[in-house]
Amino acid sequence: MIGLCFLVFGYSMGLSAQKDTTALLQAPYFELNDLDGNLVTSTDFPGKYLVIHIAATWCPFCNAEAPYLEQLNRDYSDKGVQVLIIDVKESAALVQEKLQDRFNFTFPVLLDLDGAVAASFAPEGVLPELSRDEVMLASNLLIDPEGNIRFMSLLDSRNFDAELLDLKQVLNKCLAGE
Amino acid sequence: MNKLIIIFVSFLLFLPVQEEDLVQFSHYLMGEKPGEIGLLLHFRIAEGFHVQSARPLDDNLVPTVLNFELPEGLEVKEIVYQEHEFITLQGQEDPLAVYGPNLVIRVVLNADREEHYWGVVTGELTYQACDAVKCYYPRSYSFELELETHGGF
Repeated sequence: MIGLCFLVFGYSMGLSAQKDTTALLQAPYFELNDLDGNLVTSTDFPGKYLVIHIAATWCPFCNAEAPYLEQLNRDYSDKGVQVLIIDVKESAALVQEKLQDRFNFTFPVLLDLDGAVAASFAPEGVLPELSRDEVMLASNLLIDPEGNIRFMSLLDSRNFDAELLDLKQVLNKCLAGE
Repeated sequence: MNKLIIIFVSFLLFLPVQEEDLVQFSHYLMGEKPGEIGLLLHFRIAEGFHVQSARPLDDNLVPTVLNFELPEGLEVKEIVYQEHEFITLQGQEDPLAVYGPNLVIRVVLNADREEHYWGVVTGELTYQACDAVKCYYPRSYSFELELETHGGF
């Protein structure tokens, strides 16, 4: 049974079980440099689930979630899961100092210098008054090995899931083949 | 003999309101004594929003900062931000230090003027806001206020 859950503003919408996966949304392709200047693309991790957090150094929710992302990477990296942070509109030096040096991530931190990649993930019609990259700040995504988005949560301050419990619930189901 | 004049002045001049201003200048109080001008600036923060404190507990966060463009003879001596409040994010032990729904900032200017002065000065408040749904990019808000000194310093 394949299900896709979107968690938007604290509400979850589950699609009915279906073997036909055409209703799943394909994640947009991206290629970004990491902090060492190496090019990383969304297709560099064949066969793996991608957990992506879209962040900024100044974002309090992103900072609160950071230790839990690192822990998730440690817990799941040997289970076919790759964690990535996409940092929006900040320099490598700033991100190195404020995020990497502080939290010692053991996964790649990618630099979305113009916000275009973050914007490409933004759902249509959500918070239309905001720029698309701003909509995605502090969001979390789970992408399966076929490139389908299995989970997306936009920041909901009232129901902030710093410990990534909702994402891990969906991830565990995916890894179990449910 | 110190001369203290308290003048209540509503904001008389301001730059066009930007569409996404989450903080707006409301009014100010001004006092004067030889060599100094005291200002008490009042800002309104949009309903449901808060901004980071001038002294955030986390170095990564963007503090609220007030700056001025001042004419010759005036310079900032001291800026004192109001006491912040604390909010705690779900799943976190360390609170956030924030301001909202209002912000009051006390400013003391050194005034090296012997003559009567009237003019408009520009202030800029840099802040980073969040509401119950989102956190927003840091942004700056510019405002103007009339400043009048009676000289004789």
